[in-house]
Amino acid sequence: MTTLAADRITVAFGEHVAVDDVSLAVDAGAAVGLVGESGSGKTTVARVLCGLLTPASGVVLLDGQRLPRRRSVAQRRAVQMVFQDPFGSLNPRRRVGSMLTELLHVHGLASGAERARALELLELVGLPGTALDRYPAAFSGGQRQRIAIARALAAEPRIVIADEPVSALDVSVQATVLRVFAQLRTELDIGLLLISHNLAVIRVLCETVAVMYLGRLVETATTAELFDDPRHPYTRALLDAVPRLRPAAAPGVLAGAAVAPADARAGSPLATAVPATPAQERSSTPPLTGGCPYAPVCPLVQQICREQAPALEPVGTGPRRAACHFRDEPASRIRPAAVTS
Amino acid sequence: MTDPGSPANGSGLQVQGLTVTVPAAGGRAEVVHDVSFAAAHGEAIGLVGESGSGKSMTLRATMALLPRVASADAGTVVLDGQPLPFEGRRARTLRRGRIALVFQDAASALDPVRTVGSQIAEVAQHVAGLGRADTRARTLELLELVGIRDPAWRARSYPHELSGGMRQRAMLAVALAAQPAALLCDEPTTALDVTVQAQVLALIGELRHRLSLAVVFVSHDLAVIRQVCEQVSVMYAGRIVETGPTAAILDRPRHPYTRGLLEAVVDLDSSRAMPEPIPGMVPEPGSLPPGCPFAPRCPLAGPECSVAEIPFEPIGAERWVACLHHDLVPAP
Amino acid sequence: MTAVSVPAQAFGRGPSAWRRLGQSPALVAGLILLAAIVGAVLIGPLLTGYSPNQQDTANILAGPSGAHWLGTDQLGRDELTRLLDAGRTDLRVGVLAVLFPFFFGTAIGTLAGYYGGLLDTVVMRIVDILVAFPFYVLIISLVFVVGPGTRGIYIAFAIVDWVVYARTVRSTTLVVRESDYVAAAKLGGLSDARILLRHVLPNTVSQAIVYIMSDVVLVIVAIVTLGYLGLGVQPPTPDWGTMISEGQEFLTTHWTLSTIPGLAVAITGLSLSLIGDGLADALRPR
Repeated sequence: MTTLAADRITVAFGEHVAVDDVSLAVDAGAAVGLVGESGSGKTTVARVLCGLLTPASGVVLLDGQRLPRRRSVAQRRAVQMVFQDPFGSLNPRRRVGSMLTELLHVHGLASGAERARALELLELVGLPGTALDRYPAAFSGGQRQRIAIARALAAEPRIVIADEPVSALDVSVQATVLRVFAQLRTELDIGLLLISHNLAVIRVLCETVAVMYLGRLVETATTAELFDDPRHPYTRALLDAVPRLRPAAAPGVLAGAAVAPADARAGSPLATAVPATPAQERSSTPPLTGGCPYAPVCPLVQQICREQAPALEPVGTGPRRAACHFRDEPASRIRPAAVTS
Repeated sequence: MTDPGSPANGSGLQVQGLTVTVPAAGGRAEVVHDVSFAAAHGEAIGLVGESGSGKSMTLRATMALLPRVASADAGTVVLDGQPLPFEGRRARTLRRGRIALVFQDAASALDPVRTVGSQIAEVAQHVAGLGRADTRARTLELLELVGIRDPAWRARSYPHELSGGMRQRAMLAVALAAQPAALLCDEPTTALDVTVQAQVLALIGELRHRLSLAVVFVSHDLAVIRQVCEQVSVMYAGRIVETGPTAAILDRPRHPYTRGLLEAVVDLDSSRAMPEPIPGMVPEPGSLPPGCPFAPRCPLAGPECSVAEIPFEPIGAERWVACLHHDLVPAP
Repeated sequence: MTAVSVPAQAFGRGPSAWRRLGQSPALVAGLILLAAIVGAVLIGPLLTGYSPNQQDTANILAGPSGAHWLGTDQLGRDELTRLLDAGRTDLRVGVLAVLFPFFFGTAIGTLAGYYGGLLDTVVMRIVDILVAFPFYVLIISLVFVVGPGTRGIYIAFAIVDWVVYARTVRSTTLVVRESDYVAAAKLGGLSDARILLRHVLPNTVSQAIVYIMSDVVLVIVAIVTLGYLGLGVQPPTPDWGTMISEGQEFLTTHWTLSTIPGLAVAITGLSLSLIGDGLADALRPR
């Protein structure tokens, strides 16, 4: 039984469609990654799943039951979130202990022994008991994120959604926080939805991955499948663009493609494709005509792509899916281009 | 204090023995201690470190852009053979048009109420001293150089009308308008999407060759440094702990901190299941332990590490490291 | 992450705002000064040996002397006693008059900022209308309608003065409402009331608290002005405003009669400003 599911969620802010017909599921004990760049809609999806945002259409299901617009306290408990900015996610005027005990109190947990439970929660994330009486300002970014995780755990949720939990942290600190997340799954059987633009982080923690582009899901697969054999050109572009510590071949930029419409101009010595996300081409993107949203910059683009938007359909027989007319051909046939010189 | 990689012919950017202090309880504390590096024309060197490593302060000191409370107490900056002072009016005038700085946040570095073109033109006119017509041509040329299409149209755009990646390119164009000899980059791609980052990094790499720039690239991201810089210096607690060719350092680090970083980083290619955190915390400036600042967190540390400052010594082809046990550092 | 910041504290102290209060020189100076003023106006009149309305027609308009440290006014009343007694009145009215505006304004501003929608629109339009009128014109007309005296002052301020609090608190609330910790509180299942009281207000109210200080000064000056115009505190209760107005005709001969009360207003205002400044510093979260 799927614990938490989004079923055909669409969210629009005025004219702009932020999330378009997205369905996603997270089970207790599993870890799902949601990948996308700015403008992909991944944070919006997270907020809908939490109940912080109401979709224009579609529903969120908990244990198969549809969640109402205003969730009950028990329903809210089940899904908790850890936010990106460690410096804005803790109330600067509340002590850590008070923040935790308040939550315990509201949910009637550990009544009579709230402080002891708060200590346990801190221990779970590797922080000492002295933290209880301190204000958030006394802690570093990594420590604050761990406090935020402890806060999320206080309500004993079934699912934790982490929105870029380590992006704002130093490298050596990221490792600590990632380990805490890994522990959540194995020791507490909590389901994790990890949202990140950083593919390497997703790979470390998640078994399945969903990729979003311009509000739509373009690919879903297991982590291994996605990283070894992506079936959507955008996924491939993402993988190619990540700088490597030990590159086997020079990391390339998806080049030689049709460029974004507003930028269409041949002859520039550094003509490279720019994925046309709303954040990138705000005032200059012409309205999408109904074809594939990635068509303007896709190296595999054909006429059919411009006319017909591909649906998220299975690749072969497997549960993995991709929204590309050419999903059955491995995207590895797009060779990474050497950096033009 | 050995002088890593100072270009033989004295051209390019050279920083020697830089020390920067800030006010702290009971006097002043060093946030940068005896840092030296050099970049020749057409060469890109990286400064990598986490927050508190002093890498940004180093860059600011080089640009004479330190916050008021900080001061460069020692060290020299030499550009193409000419020493540049840290303070006083000449500090700015001598750097104008010769060293340029590109920041992480292009949105705040560009003036929001002026068009991109006018900002480039301003530098071209007032710093490089070009006339009207030449300025116009140069503006368009620069926009094309940084890969912005439709330069004539884009020149009339305001920063908020551009995407993040384009703003970064615009910032580069402004920086390059006066044909500087050196380009300093302070985490220029950290806030960008990964696909955009790849392009901007490629652009910087390209420009550096084409315009023979001496590039100093600061980042916390080892993989990004790998992509852009031939040489890298690793900083910890205000000091350089290791310097050498990027590939060599990343493949075979000789300082325990560098190795710790490599173990802690999540990388797509790594075969490790989970990254390994480095235990402990970065010490505050002003409360550094005696001897090696990394000793309290170092798996190889011994009592000899806490006695005196560890010398920064050459250990082979163009590599320097400040560690008494560098030969014991295992491969990552 | 590349903010070139002078390094912050590590896993450090956890003192509350109280300790930080002691660290601001403005705050300490202001508090001391205010304490002196309050002490003087409370105890002073009892120590001088005169009653504020005790007339001594044989001794009118006397200069400062051993018996009367600040001299006497045109009815032979001891200036010092009157000054301190007037201070009692003015301070009392000043503080009481801001209470309703503060509480009401803060509450309305919080609700308007947090819930938005129709409530916000209505409240803000009312605020706009009230703000558009010149302050003193409003106060004076209200006092005319309601009648002079302290009751009129309280009512006039209750009607007019809450808008600044509402506006300030509303705009901070708008920002705090979007913060992650409020989102986390909602997710945590906390009720709206609890979120507003424990998470929103503590982060929005500090500006309003700082403003109280300026507001008290404003009220005192307004009372004094009304008193000068004969619309404020009614005689025989002494009030700095009426003292200034009564002393006016003797300005060229006995200038202290008007000036000293004016100076008292200024010093009181200074102490409150210092406190306001110091509070602004101390209440800012690190």
